[in-house]
Amino acid sequence: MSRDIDTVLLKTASRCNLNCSYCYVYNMGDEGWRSQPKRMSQTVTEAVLEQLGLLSYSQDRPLSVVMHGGEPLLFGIDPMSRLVSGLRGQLRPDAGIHIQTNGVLLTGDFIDLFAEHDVGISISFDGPSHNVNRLDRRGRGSHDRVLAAIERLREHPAGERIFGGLLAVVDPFSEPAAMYRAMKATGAPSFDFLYRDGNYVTLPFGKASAASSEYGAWMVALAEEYLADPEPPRIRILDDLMRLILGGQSQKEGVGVVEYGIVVIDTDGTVTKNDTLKVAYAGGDRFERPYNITERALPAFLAQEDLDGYYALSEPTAAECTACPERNVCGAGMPAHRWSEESGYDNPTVFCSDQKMLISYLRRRLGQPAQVPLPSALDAAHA
Amino acid sequence: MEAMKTEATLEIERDDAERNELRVAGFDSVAIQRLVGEISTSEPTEFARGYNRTHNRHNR
Repeated sequence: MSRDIDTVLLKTASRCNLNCSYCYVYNMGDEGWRSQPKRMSQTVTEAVLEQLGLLSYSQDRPLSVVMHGGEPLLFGIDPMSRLVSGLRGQLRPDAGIHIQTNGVLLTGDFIDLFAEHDVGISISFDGPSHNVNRLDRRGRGSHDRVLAAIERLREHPAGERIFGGLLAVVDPFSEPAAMYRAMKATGAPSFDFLYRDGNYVTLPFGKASAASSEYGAWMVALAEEYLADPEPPRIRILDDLMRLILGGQSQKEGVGVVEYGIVVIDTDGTVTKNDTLKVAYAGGDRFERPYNITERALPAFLAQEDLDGYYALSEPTAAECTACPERNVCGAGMPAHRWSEESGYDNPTVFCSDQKMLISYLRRRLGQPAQVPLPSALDAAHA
Repeated sequence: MEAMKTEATLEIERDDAERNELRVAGFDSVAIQRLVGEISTSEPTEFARGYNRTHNRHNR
């Protein structure tokens, strides 16, 4: 089993200036953020720089560090400057440094800083649904402020180099074509889409049952727009699925059967599992043996045998998945979405029927034989 | 009925059939052509690498 880490998420700030209705950090039952310092301290930052430097040189796989929150820009310009310049000095030269921001605080100063240190920027943007869910603390929508930030980034001399793209959360009641047009109108080079979090205990927003396929139908309609576009940007999730169908590999967690070692470093220095596991149950992202980065032995901590269970989570284990002909494409989705009280993570993703619909549609568009039947309504519509 | 079709009609039908074949095989799609090109040359672009790594997640 590979123990290489693909991604380290750095929680530079534990609070957020937005209060998105669907946020897994604040609004899905886990209150762990309340006990975290608002920002990463200088002591923790120094330990992070030292330990991530060691980690990046101790493994084969290039390391990707993603600054994250809360809203990571709440860290402030000076601490952020010390962090990213330190990371560039400590990490192996092939390491990627990125930030996922809601964009509201993305000033010219921050863009200059990220351009100087080659930090990729991804902005959360929900298109026509943005002001429904992504509100600030006064209840005001953030759509226009985010669009302004996207424009600032695009107009920056380094914009083309450091603008990674937009990340949206699917609203299954929205119009996929309108979403595609709104995202494309921003001029962003790529988009990615996440499903709303949920599991067998708490169904994701908009799903009538685990067997329904509202998200699958939405994604198929989005894919129709994408595949018909003569000048398409990138859509990461669709590219990943098609790459897998064609025999290639995915490049991100959530699809395919590949280990993406992910650890999170909270503002107080605690190292945790993939933090989306919070949506299974409060504290679901915690290691049994707590470890803090200031103890300064990260590579040794990650090599412990009792982390096997965490690393193995990426592998589909449910009998339905083992027998499924789309196992290697779907990969059973995100572990957080497999959770049930009866059998833990040993289930197909709660989006199983959605994934089957989308994968079957993409197979057809790629001229590949279907592995699982398309639902009849979709079959007629896309024959 | 078939015999009554004009040459022009038959040509339109042939074009339609060809388009459908291309569509099913994905070759009418720029996004698919781009992906197939990358896979066949085994050269994922730097851009492709960048966008995947940047888009790791956000707060949902």
